[in-house]
Amino acid sequence: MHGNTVDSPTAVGVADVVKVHGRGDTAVRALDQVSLDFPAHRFTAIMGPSGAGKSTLVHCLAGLDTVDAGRVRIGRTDLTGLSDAALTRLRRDRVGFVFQSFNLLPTITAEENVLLGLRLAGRRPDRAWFDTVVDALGLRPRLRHKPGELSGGQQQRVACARALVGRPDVVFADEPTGSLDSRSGAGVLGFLRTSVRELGQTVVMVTHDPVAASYADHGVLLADGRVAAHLPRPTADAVLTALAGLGA
Amino acid sequence: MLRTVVAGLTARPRQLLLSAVAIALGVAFVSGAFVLSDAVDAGLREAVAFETRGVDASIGRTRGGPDLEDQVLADVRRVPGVAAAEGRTTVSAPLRDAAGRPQDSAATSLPADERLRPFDLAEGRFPDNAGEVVMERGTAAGHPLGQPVTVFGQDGRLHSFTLVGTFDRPAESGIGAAPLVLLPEALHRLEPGAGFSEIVARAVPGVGQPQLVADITRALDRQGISVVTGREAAAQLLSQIAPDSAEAAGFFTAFAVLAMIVAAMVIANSFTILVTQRTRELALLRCVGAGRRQVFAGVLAEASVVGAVASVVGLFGGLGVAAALQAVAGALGGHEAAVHVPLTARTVVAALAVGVLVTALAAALPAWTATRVAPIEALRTPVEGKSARAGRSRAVSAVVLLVVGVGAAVFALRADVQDGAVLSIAAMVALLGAMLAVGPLVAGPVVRTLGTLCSPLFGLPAKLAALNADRNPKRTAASAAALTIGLAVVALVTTVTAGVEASRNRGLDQQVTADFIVTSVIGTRPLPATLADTLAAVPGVAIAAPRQSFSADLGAHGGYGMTAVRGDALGSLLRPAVLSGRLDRLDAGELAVSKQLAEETGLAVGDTVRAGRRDSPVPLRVVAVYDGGRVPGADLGLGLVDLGQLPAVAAEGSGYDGSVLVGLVAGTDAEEVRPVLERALSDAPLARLNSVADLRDQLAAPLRSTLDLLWALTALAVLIAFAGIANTLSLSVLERTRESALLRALGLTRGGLRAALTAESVFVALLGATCGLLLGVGSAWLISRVASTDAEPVLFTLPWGRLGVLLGAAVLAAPLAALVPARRAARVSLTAGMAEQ
Repeated sequence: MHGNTVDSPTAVGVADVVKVHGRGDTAVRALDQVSLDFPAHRFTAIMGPSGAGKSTLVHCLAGLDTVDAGRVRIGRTDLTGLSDAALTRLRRDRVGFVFQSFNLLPTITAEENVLLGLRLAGRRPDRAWFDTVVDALGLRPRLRHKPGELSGGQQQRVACARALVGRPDVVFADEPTGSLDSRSGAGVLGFLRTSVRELGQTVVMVTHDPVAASYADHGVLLADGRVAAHLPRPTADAVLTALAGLGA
Repeated sequence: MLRTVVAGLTARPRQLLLSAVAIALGVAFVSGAFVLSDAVDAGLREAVAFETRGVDASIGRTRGGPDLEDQVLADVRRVPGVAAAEGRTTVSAPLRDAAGRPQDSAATSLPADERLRPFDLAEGRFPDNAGEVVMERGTAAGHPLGQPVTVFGQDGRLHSFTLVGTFDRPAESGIGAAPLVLLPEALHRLEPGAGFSEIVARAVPGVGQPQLVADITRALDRQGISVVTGREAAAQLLSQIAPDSAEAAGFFTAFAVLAMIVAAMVIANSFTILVTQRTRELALLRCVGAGRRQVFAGVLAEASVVGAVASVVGLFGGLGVAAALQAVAGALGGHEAAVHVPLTARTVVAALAVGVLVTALAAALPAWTATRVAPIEALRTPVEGKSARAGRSRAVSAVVLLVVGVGAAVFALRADVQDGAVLSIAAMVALLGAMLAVGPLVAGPVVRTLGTLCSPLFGLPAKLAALNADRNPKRTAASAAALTIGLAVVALVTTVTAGVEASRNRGLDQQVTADFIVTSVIGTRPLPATLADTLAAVPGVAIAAPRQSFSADLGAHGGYGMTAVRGDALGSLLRPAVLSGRLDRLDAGELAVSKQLAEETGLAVGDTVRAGRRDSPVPLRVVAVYDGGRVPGADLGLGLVDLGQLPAVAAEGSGYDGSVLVGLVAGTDAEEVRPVLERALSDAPLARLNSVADLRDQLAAPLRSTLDLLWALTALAVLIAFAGIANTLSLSVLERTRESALLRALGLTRGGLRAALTAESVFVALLGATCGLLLGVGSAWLISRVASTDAEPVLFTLPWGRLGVLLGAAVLAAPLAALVPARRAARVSLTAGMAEQ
């Protein structure tokens, strides 16, 4: 437990997680005995250089990938050992995603994309919450457009709305600003922070951008598949210094 | 660039394999159809060569020439240079089966010269004396060696022979070779006075065929006798039976063309997708300095290599298909079929042309489009977002084709049969073109509607399926089109055949109310005069009346084939459609004329005709005009008279096709009476009893075998179409890997993803099958209207059962087509799928 999160219950956690990519001579330990807890209602940034295991960690946390050893938990649910169908249900009911490359379905409108997860789950959207999310993201005038007619920043905001509209236990964002210019990126990051502070969401974000990390409440630095450092209330400078320290 | 091509071929084995499978299937289909077409011809040539083997000269009789008797044979044998000569005769020789009933058969004589025998001994030996017989192996089934075989002679008497052997010969190809072989003396007993239909001669070594012919011609020196070489005789025999087989060959060629179109569509679709998917890669090549032409040539080279390799595989696959179909057709026909797989240059050229050219063309279009795009733009725009929407020119061409098609159809209905047939084909092709052109325009709305209709039942997968099918309507329409063509042809053939069948049965169904018809197995041997009375006495029989065809002289109107029937049979056993007048019975001095005769002679009800011999004509009053079809044993001819009138109006000895019509007491079970009737026929061994249902089967039999082969062939076309759907789906799955992973990440279960793809396949199949059925049935309607003549009417009836089977099979096959792609889509790892660009 970390000093500033003792008061918060943990939303997501991993314990002694190992994940190996490849086998034999080419095997890489992407995650090597990682143990971490992510507090609820907080915005956590996972940082680190390329190949540090950031994305792998998030994929394992979100039930998109399985671990080779250790435990992964969302709320009280242990993900290791769940069947594919149970994992699928967990993803659609309790987890939200924002990807670097938006990942919207090109064939349907922005509104349908936002509601896609609920549709897949057969759940009825909470209209008031939908309106709150859509208005907070400024998507109202764009709901009837298809993804191809939206700018990158707008597409990523649609993806954010899709992640939040189901009121998940946790939202995972994998390099959400990686494909955006700095202004659009700032808009998305600001919204993620707002969703934590004002809407009470839990967000775990992977980024290699120190500026993006500075929006978070807490930073975790990964290097070579291990936790290298914790950065409470990270600033861009602090992150840069920490990253530079890894190289040393 | 060559290195890039090779690298490209090895880098995407899965995509290329799918396309290669599509090409190989298509080519197998084309080469199979061509090989089948050649096989018919080869089978025929083999049969003819077998029949004329060893023959160096053939002596025949021309029209009006003298009979070929023993004297002529003896003269031929005396010609120097003739090593052996044999007379050939075939006589009708009905076999008596185990139940004592006659079965159609024929016998021929055994040539003494072994090298002039068109038979290969299979078991036993050839006959030594006049009391022995050998049979063709297929016919001999059920007749053990050493047992007697009973045959009817032309006089109606029974002759018994001991079966001493069986023989083989190539499958019958319309040559009409006899299944029984006897010594000449025995054959004379069956039909005394039968001359030879042909005398064949073999030359001594050193004498050529032309020399032999010249020698024989000189020696015989008779009018009305023709002598030709063995080679010429074979050619003549071939040309006599060729019309039948030309029809079959034409049918197979037409089918090969269909195969080429379906194969071309599947290949084109598959390669179009493949190249479109690589637009980015091609753009990258351009970015690093490849010229437009280099990229284009590279894609073409790659396509040609894949096309060529797959074509060779397909070509040999086609040989297998052809061999299998022949074996299957043989098995269906209940005999051991000779399997021919002639590989002609035409087959090789057509197969390779389809495989390589179509593949190259299919690759060229998207490759050209790809090279038109500015490289950097192609790299930037995500390819998956681009959807090919149908344009205005497509709508215009669809409308134009529709107008042309409908116009041609309207003209076809008004034209005579010859022009109408040409116009009908033009109309069908134009309508098919219109349907293909309009496909991409309607594919979207149709699948959306299907998705909306199905989503309450199947939920989101149905909706996702509709979205996916709608994403690229051109591709959806192209996948459906191959199925459309295949099913259109099956539906067309099925419906037309059903129409012909119904028309043939119409005569039976409408004019014959008798339950049984008794005919004679030897047409010239009449049934006993007392047979009708014998049968009438059988319990359960209400009425039994004789009927007879004959040639009548209608005085000033000329001679016509007519029918005499006991007057009281009309209304009870025969009930032809009466167009005018009354026909509830027919009395002496009365005549009923057919519609055709009424039209040809202008006779109408109330007119009187003077018929019969010129010196003592009989006045006949026309009492009715009727419309009748052709029914064996119950034919109504062009006119009807009472049986009592027959001696006065029939030309001398012109009676033939005599029969007895039997009607049962209402409510009697025909199958119960049948054995009793059979027993009553024991005094008339030549009599054959047929129920109306038997006749219906016999009428349909020749159509059935054609239809079976047709179904087998077109089933292949439909199979290829489904392979095309599976292929398109597989490629789409590869293209949508990321999207599928996203849906899975958002909470779509594996089952849900599989269901979505299955639903997509079903939608495409439904679209294709419905269009195909509509087109096929529509064309069948047009053909039945155009081809229908008074002599051979073709009804338009919808064979609901068979069409339902087609639609059902299409819808059930669709999930099978989706099986592999759906499994693959569901198996992809989520993180790997998401990472794929």
